[in-house]
Amino acid sequence: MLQVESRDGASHVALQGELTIYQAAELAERFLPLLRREEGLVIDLSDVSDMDSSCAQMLMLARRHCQARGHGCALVNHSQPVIDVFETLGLVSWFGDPVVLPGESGPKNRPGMDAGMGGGA
Amino acid sequence: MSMEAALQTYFAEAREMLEDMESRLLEIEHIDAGELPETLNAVFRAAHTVKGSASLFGLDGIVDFTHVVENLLDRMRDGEVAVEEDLISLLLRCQSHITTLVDETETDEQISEDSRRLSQHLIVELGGYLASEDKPADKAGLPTAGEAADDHAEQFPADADDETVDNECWHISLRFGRSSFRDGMDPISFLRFLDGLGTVRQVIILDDWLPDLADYDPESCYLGFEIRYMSQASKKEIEDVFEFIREDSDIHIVAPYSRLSDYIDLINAMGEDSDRRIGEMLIDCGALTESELAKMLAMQAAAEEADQGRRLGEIVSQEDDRLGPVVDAAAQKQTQMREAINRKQKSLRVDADKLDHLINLVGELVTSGAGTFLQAQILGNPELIESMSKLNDLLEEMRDASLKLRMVAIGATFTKFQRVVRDMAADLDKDVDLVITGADTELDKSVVEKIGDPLMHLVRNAVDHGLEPAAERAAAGKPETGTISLNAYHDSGNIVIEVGDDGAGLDADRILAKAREKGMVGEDQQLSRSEIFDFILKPGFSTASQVSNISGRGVGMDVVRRNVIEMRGRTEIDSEPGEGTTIRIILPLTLAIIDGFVVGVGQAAFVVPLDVVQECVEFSEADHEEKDGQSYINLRGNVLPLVNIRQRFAVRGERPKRRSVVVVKADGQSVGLVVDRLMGEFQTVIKPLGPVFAGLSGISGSTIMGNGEVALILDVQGLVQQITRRPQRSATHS
Amino acid sequence: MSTTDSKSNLPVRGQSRAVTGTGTDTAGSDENQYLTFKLQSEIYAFGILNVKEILEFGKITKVPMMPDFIKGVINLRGEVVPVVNLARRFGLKSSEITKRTCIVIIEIGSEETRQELGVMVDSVSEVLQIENDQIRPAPGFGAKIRNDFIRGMGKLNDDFVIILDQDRVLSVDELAAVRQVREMAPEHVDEDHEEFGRSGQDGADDSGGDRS
Repeated sequence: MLQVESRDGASHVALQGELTIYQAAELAERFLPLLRREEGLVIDLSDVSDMDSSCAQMLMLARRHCQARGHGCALVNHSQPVIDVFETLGLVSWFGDPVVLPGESGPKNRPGMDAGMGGGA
Repeated sequence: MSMEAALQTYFAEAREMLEDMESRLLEIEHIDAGELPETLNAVFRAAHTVKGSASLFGLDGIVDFTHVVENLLDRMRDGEVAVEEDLISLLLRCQSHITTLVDETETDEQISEDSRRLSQHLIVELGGYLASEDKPADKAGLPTAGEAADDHAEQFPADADDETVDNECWHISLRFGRSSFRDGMDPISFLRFLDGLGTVRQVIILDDWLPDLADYDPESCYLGFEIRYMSQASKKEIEDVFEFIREDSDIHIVAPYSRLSDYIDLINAMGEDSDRRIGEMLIDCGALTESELAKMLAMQAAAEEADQGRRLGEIVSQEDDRLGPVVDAAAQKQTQMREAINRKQKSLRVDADKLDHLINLVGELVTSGAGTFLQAQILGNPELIESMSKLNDLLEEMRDASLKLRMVAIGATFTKFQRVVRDMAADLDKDVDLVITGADTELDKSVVEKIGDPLMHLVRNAVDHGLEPAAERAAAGKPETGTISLNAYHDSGNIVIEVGDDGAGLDADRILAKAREKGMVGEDQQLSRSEIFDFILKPGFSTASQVSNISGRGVGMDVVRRNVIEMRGRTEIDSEPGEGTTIRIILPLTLAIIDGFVVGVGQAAFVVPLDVVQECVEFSEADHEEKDGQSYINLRGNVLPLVNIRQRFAVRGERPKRRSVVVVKADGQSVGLVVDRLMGEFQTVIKPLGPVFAGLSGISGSTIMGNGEVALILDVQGLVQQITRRPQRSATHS
Repeated sequence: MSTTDSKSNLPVRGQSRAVTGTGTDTAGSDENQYLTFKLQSEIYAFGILNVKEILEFGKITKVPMMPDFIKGVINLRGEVVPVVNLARRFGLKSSEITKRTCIVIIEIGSEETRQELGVMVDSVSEVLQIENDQIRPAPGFGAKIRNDFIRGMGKLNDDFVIILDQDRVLSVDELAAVRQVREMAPEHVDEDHEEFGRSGQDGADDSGGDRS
């Protein structure tokens, strides 16, 4: 559900798997105490496979709590399911963390035209 | 912003609104009954905005007239006045007249006597429709000149009109009950369901009820939402979405264009237990503009006098000067309007000249960046090369971004033709539908500006000459209503714009006969159909009296061709007898900058637009065949026709042993360009070659290389076309 | 334009130099001043008002499929400008390129159709003041070049300067119109004179009726 690592004066939390109302109580038990550490929080969301409003709400609480105490609280590496939920709930702008939005195509596919001109046929 | 600048913005926006109004009015005759309310709303909104903003500037002439139009539209929207063709025609005339009023106000700062008279005249006509109503006349409009002015000189008096709000969206306020999560009611599901029933334009999530850590229960729901929502659904349907949470949650739904008092009711009803400033929130999510909110305050004050309702001042921020005192100087209202408009459109108007200047500078920057990179390479300093290459990447991004600033959708250009087609059809007594597709296709503003005239020629010709009279159509077993189609799409670095008709088609034999008669083609010369059709666009071919009976095109078509060539584009014509004609204009996407691939032949350097380059292979004599004067190579089992650039452009100098083939693709056809050397990619500013080279085929322009020399840009489409047409051509080219 | 009398400084050496001398000789107005130059031992002149600058002959990019009197294009401070080989335009043999060969940049056309063209000449001589009463009409015959190219003959002591009608010599319609004929028959050079004659008429018609 989550992995915590403390370095550079901040807690690095990687949330994992399904985070829904069924996990909310357990997540709260393990996650909320981190808020009392009085240090910055970096929450990695890359391995979150599902999230619902209850757990999104918990992240809101974390952000507000940290901010009120002058600590940073950054959400990073949003997984696609997280982005979907954030977009639906209007949380992308509420949090304001940089999010990689889908839809941008990758680097332009250019024909190979370096000096080596491969054999024709 | 100065008064003058604000006024300029108003004129520009009023024109946009009026264009929108026109296109919506034209739509009305073609849409289903279900879409009518939305379309009428849009027309109403346009008129309402033009009037509302005009009143801020004290432009009484516009206000007085538009007010009457708006009143009538309001009635139509309420279903009190039936929509009928004559009425739409009248409204179109009114739309044109408002446009005239705006134009006159801008140029002469006053309204001409003629226009005043026309205003009176139209008001009388409008009155004919308004008179049939049963509301008291003073409420409905039809004011005398004096009354109308009074009506709007008012500055939000306490008993202000309960105006409708300029908002085409539903507004939904949701406060989920604490137990929602535990009951399995996730706000996400509701929001997603709403998105299926319409479009959620904006969601603002509210954290006002989220408690501190100590009081927080992870399984309780503390969330609230303000939602801006676009939907054709009825209020009942939207309410039903929330059926299961109605008990425990607070839900309020305000319909589009509701009256201000409905919003006051909303605020009162929500009975916020927090100090959230609802008024600001409504502005945030776009439900209200600030001026509307200001007006609402005034109404609230009036209500308070009557000892009803809550004081809105408690809810709306009192510190905020902009919203505080309702009545204020005109300048302040302007600012409010500007801010509201800016927020609503999230866009910024920039003078086109400034933009062009920027693009030119970026173009120079790109060229000069390439030059510097070349110098760096000559110096061979790796750090310098590295940092120059980073700089060049940035320049490339900047180039792309700045060019995007100039991209606009072609839709507005197309829409103008609704009116043209409608008017022409009426004049010619034909039934014509205009079908527009690809309206979202974006292209460079400079192209849009220049494409209007050629399109006008083509559309007029299609309606006039392309489509047969109804009787003829019926006799041919076709629907009596003819169809003109406008279409746009992107195709390998080009934009293609099509004007089609489902008329009788072009008569190739007659065109050929005419061309022979005019000595434009030799007696024994064989031409393909498309080459024959091309004649209708050639200067000197068509003069009205002589060819109007060729089921084709009259005068002026050579103008189309000339304009298109000036834009580095070309035309294509497809036509099937009895089925119609499609004229295609193929233009470069942008007139400014391209990514080029530089190739060398002899001493000369040529630039191939990178987006058509597929790959580069070595030229091998062994794979090389020649047939009917055309060379081919075998490329992985496919026959690839070749264009030998050295031969094609008669480049002098010795042929090197090793040569390369640049495989390019245009119009779905791959062709190999045989060149001496590959010299790499290069971002390049296109410099037109000017009129001296106007008819030069195979070259589309020029560019200045990093070393200051000029290189020519190959017109790949043109070269490919020569190949594809070759089989039908008698061997005039070598 | 700020061109004033400038008898010195010419011919030009070096990169480029605008014809904007600071001469104090204010005897005449710009209209009566002419830039004279040599082309195969004949002296010609263009009115100074339209001469933008004079460049040393440098790298020219050849444009394929063009008649040989279009020498090519050059980069003039970011603008691509066509260069006319004047000798070929006159139907004379091409001159040898020497150190003194210059490109005179001339502005033609009016407001909307304004365009710059380069003209290759053997050498630039000087800027001369020639009063109107010293200019005679073009001779009916006997000139080496097409009659309509000549605006007049300027008297210069005992000699004559051929004052060119730049709008004719550098008529864009003609320069462009010839190309179409050329495309059909790429290898012939000798037809130039006849083609000029014919397309010259066409050009006149065009300019009369095409302003729409």
